[in-house]
Amino acid sequence: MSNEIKKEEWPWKDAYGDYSMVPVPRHEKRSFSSIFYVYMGVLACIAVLWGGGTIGLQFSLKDAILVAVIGSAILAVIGGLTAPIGGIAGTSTYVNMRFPFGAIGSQVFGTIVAGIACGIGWFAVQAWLFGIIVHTLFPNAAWANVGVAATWGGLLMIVTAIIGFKGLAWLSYLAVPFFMLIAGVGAMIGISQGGGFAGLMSIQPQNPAPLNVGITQVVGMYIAGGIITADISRYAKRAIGGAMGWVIQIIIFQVYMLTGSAMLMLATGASDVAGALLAGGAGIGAFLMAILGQWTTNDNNLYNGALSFNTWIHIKKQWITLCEGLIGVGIAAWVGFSAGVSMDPFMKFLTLLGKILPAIGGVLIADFYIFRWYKKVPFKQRYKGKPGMKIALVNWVGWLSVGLGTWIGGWVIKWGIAALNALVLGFVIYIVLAIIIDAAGMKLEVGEHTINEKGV
Amino acid sequence: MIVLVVIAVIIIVLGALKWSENLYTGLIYLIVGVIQFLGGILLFPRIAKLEDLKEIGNRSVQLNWLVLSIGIAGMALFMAPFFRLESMAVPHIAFVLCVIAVLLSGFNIFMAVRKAKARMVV
Repeated sequence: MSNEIKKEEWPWKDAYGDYSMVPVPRHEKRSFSSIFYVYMGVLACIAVLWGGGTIGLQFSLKDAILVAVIGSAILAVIGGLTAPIGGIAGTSTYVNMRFPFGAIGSQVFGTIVAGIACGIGWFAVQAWLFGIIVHTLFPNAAWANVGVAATWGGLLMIVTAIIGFKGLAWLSYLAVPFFMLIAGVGAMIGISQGGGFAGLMSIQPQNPAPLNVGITQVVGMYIAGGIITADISRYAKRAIGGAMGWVIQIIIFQVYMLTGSAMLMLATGASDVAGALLAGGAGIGAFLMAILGQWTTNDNNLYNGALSFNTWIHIKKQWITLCEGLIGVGIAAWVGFSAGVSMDPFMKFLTLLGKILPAIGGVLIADFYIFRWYKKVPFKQRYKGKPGMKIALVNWVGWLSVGLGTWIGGWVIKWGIAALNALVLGFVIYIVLAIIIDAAGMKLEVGEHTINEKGV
Repeated sequence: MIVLVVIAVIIIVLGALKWSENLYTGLIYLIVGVIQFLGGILLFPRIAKLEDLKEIGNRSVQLNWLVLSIGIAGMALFMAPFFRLESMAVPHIAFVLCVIAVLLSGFNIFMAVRKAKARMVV
């Protein structure tokens, strides 16, 4: 009898593991602290410290704090809007994308946002960064060669991603408090070497940049994470829990980490955070930071990527994780062996990311909050699929909005923050087009797809 | 958990004692000590009204992860050159205390999962 009730409440079959294609059942939902820790695990990475370091090299401390606060506030709003979608629907970003983009759209855009960008691109970049940091810390060791370290570091990261959400959470519990403390140590070294807080405030960067450049860097650095918050928040017991977890970690801890590393770089003028920490006397803490920081973030990249690939590659998620991880490790090792310690690939990747992803997030937010409201779908029923439900193959308005938003926001408009421009444009274009077309009695959808009990 | 609280208090006292010699060393000892203290002491009010052993175990796991992680940070940082003191006796004592805290909190997590059937990830 109890099994029948359970079947009635949750009529799905988790065929691919980790609820990659179906809603997370109630008994598998996690507490606020668990969700918060996993988000923090994504944030607690060298790339954020590196981003803070880049800001520290371009701005005075006062401006660096301003840039960190404004950039983080923008990210808090974006993630604060996308996280409840996962909390309510209980499904990943890519499954949710079926509604504004159609079944094929979710596969295409999910693969762009998470599969290629996070699962392979970001993963490879961070594994490569890991190799650079380890090489900086131990320049003469053979195992710390950029390519070699990127390889073993990448393989390490694959392990927790294969375990799934539990693996991510377990590692975050272990690493996040540690990482936060190390970020504080960076600030201490910066204050110490900068001649106290007053001394640090008076230091001016050699090559100052306009504020909007710094804000763009902060937003571009983490906007992918802001769009795919549902991948984690789907596990939240309460829909608001995911949003709160995201906003707190961004507003408080990202600002803290960016400012801490900016202080360090401003004071030392060094070109990389780990090296500056080591030179400043952080000892083995710098090495542990490199390992844990990259690990907690990069396993999330793989995890998100595998979730998106699962929308069209219907095999166990663990196998997808392993395959994309090995591709990422291969790229990281190749860049490591051929490009050595060049920062160019990382910076180019960030720039590209800032342009292609935000419009997708804008459309998702517009569809869930505005268009579904316009269609009078109750808030808690939005994006709730069930076996046998028919959805569109393609929602052409969603596709068009992303195309226009990305093109105009990323390439045509030359002012403001490119990532934010694209997101707002995607949002506005979708609402205007969808409502006009719907009011005119025309169809937004093309084709039809029926969801089965595996969520496919 | 009481042992962990006592360890945290000792680290806080060490931090207060060395504050004048090296501000940053004193500060890092205080931060590590206070977080470990809170991690230990908060368990008592959080489980006071609970009767379900599994739920008690879950709360214990959560706070022990915090103590464990901060303990590792203490181990890594207390001996670091930036926090070096004239006499290394205090850093060595603090280091050993952190090792004990890490081992104890790890044991607590293990027991909570094994005996109370708590989740490793709450």
